[in-house]
Amino acid sequence: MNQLDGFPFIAFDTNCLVYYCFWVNIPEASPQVVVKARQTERARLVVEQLQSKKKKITTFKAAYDELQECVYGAVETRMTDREVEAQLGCPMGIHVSDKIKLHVHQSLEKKVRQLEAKSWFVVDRDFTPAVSDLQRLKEFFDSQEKSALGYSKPPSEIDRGLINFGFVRQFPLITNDKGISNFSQKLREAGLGFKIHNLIELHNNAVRA
Amino acid sequence: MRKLVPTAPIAGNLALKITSESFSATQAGYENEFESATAPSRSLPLRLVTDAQDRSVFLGVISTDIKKQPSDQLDLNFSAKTDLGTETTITFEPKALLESLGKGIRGFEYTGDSIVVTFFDENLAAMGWATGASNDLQPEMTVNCGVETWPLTNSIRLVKHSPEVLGAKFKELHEQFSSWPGSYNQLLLAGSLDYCRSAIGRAKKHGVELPLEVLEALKAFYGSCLSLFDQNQDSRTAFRRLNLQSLQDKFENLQILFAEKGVYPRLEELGVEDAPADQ
Repeated sequence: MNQLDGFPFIAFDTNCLVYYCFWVNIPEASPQVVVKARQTERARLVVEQLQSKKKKITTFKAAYDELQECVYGAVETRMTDREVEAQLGCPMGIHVSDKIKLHVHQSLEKKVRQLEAKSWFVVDRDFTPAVSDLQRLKEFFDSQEKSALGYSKPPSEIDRGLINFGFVRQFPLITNDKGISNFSQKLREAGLGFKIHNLIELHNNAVRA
Repeated sequence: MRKLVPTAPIAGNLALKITSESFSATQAGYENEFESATAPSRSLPLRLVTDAQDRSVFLGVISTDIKKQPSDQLDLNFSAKTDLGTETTITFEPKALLESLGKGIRGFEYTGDSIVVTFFDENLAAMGWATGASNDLQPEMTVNCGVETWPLTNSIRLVKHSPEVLGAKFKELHEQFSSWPGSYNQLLLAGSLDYCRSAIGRAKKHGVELPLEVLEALKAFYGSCLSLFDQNQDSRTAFRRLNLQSLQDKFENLQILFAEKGVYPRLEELGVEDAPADQ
């Protein structure tokens, strides 16, 4: 992860924060099963490496406020994964009950919110992306070939806000969204983005190192 | 003109003032049984509101097949048996309704696709109506009764104390919310209703009688969820942005009560055996 050297702050996509925290015991006190996201191990390795180098992880307030929605998306995706259904003893064709999903959501959301108490995590409450910057970013992505997005949706306003956050603050941004990280070079050339790294690629580089 | 207006915010039967001595909060939670000579008997929910004189008014649903005919040709022949503290049996036929004022029935009106029957017993008034399409009550409907018009607002639904009925109600509402667009709020409703349904189901499976305190708490929680359903049916997408901290707190208290009474573990204590969705 040498590409992050020299930067004391690293911006994180909210989804990456959620993956880092996605480690839920069922039941909580004496776990029979631990449910994790597919990206949890990778996110944890990257965060641990950053912590070992005394770097702080940051995001801006509006992105952090979308936490509940991000958690919901991550929980819904993971808890409907056949791998987890089988892990929890659901026969083929039977889904995980809503009460268990609710427990997973509430437990995960609580863990992510507890990050605020960590010394290595900072929510930047002073940053608000300029409307004009968000608009320029929208125009940038609207002008790109749809095929370049791959399976990703076009970046939301919050996603564009994160790109702008990294650019204005000159923080590298880590995201799992290839619909953003694939455009890192082009965004820099257009003067709209700073360094943007994909979580999985960063993890793979860290493992190889 | 007497107006039927709730005198207190209705957030469940616990918020209502019941002034009739023949009633208590416990007795308020029951269902009328309506038997029809032409249709199977069924139990139907009631709604309870208070009028301007602080009297308890039950709004019952009469289910029947409504035919769009002039009132004197309605093919109705059913009896209504109510348990209002004092045993009251009312049997009426369409033509006989207007002749039944002396038996406690005060009004009857057929509007073309609905029927309103009003009957009184001491301090209580009850009205019933149904449409040809469903048995659902329509809170915005204006009920005409004789010379008075009573706008209906802010009513609640009461369900019987019976755990079987409660369980069915929770199952039905859970299924409704499960079809709403996904969000944390939707998951909160679906998950908490699923939890309650499972708690009731476990008690039934083990032959455990649910304490009255637990039943009352379940009814109140159901009422809260049902209100949210009613209020947001037409704005399901916007539902995701509502602040439901109050409901979350109620659910938390419900879990504490269940755990204290040994009824069901708290959500975070549920195990893998609770993971598969009920079929």
